[in-house]
Amino acid sequence: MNRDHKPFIRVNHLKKYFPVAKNWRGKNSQYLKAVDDVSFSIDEGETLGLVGESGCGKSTTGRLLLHLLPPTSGSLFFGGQELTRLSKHELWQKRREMQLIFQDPYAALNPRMTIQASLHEPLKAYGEDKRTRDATIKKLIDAVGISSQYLNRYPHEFSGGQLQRIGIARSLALKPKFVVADEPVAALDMSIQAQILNLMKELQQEFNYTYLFISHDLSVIDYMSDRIGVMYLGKMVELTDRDALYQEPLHPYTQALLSAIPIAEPQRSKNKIMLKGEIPSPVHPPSGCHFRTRCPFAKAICAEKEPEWVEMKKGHYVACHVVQEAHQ
Amino acid sequence: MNDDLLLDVRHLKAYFRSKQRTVKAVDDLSFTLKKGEILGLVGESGCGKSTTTKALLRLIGNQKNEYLEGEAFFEGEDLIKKSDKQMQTIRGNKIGFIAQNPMSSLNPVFTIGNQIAEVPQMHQRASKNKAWAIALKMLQKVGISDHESRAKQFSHQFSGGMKQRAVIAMALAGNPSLLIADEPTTALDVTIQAQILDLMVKLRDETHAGVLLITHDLGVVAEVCDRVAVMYAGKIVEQAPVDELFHHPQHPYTKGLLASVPKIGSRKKLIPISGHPPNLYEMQGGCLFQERCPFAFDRCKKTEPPLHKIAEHHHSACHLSSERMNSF
Repeated sequence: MNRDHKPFIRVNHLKKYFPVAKNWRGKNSQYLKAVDDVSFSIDEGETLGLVGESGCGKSTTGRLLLHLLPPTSGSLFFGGQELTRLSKHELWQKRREMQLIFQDPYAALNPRMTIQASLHEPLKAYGEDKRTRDATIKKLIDAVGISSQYLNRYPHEFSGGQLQRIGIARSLALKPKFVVADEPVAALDMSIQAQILNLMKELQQEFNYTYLFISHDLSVIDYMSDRIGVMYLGKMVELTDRDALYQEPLHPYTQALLSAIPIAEPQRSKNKIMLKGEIPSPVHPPSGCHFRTRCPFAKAICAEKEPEWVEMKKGHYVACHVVQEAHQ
Repeated sequence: MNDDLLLDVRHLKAYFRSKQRTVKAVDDLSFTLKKGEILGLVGESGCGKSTTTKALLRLIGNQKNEYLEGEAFFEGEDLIKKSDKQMQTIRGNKIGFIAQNPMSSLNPVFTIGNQIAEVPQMHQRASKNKAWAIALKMLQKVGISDHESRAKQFSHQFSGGMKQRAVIAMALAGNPSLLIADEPTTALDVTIQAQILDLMVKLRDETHAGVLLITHDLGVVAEVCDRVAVMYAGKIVEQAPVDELFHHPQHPYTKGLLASVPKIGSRKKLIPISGHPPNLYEMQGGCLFQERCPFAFDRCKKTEPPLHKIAEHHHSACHLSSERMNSF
């Protein structure tokens, strides 16, 4: 792809710990490490896909990037500015440039507001006058493929796919630069999914949005992303171009995840890597490498030391002792 | 009659009535299931997949506003004509049921072992000790490690995948010849889904039970099913062996579904099906798919296409495919 590599979002050693228990003095003694030392960047106009199973920290990462949650530690650059250092007012102004597309379109819109009113809200908040608001909304609703004569209707009058289109229109009303899409098609039917995915791609080409696309579905992630990060128990275990990820996945977890997805093609012979057991509790993750309890290649060192985040090839990052040893 | 035939559903209809209108959730459905076969019932939400299972189990049809018609021969006997009392001896005994959400199919105040032991106690009049022994055996069979102490635990001590295993154990405890699984893996993560699907295929091979698998995931279908029936708006629109359906789909809806699901490794643009599924209470005459069908012509508006045989074991309800057959 022909893109100049200008990192728009840059995240260094981002951590988010949620306190889950207090000791007798009332101090936090136990933490759930939802996001634990994650570093990556997203270029302008690029889509970074985040994939992982439930509880791996992908949604928390999305929320941290929008600064909806303050990180426990680490730095977060948004278009060259450190978000964590901004004052409240500066952050409020920056918020215009970042938006979120939600998973459940039914819950994302107020059932007692017409969609027109819902679409006006973000523009009102940033002080646009009525005439510009009307013009913007008309353009937006057209762009997402909803007829403008439906503007006076209420959410219950629309189908799930239509509501998701309206939700997307509202997220894009303020002309953001960066959009976090948190499982935007998980609640939709198969035939509608494709409509929304194509719409998001078209809008990106037109307005050069930078996307962080979160999903548990590897085939959806594959379709949408330029680069893909795989997360497991709060850690990123692999990050690379989508082609490299699917053709030569290095981390054992990525390999297992890829082989576990049911593919809509019978007869395709697959050597399935069946992972044993289930994801351990994130409050008490295994020592060393978090994945070692389910890893078919685990060695003694995996229990002792946490694997480092190493660039194995250009742009291909992996955190795994076994892979790193094999390459030395 | 064919000895291998386990379930023979003919012209099954399930309607829900209200004062103003009638919803034809399942309309004139016919299919068969052989012993040891896995039949996939695929479709989008609201197409009547779950209503079909509920009708077969006679969980609907007893209320005033519910209307049930047709025949469903299970081991030679018509389920629709059975009384409530007779059904109670069949449900959970000869027909096992696995629901979508394992969290809500287990009782939180009884131990897992107790709930499984209830099945042989009820249906085989087994003694408490014998029933407990069966429960332990079942838990071991579905791959729960340390099953003896696990049987004494409650559902909140089980993880999602283990709960689903326990539900499967419960469904199999009566040694059923028919297993109905309604989206058994939808609530689970992919790596766990792979384990559960693997387990279901293994158990089918062991017990030689027929499985009716309801799902919306074409990947799951391709992976485990022998035969597939595609449902749309309460009707089966296409029915074929799994390879045939994926490689030579005939009905435009099946074709559309296959083209709108992203496939890993393929960068082809998704072609969504335009529009959205019809309201089941505002049905017009003719083919139900005509509004979304790119090939619709006048005949589709006038007459409804019957399920046509287009090849050995391959049926499609489309005027086009029947016409193509006639021209040969």
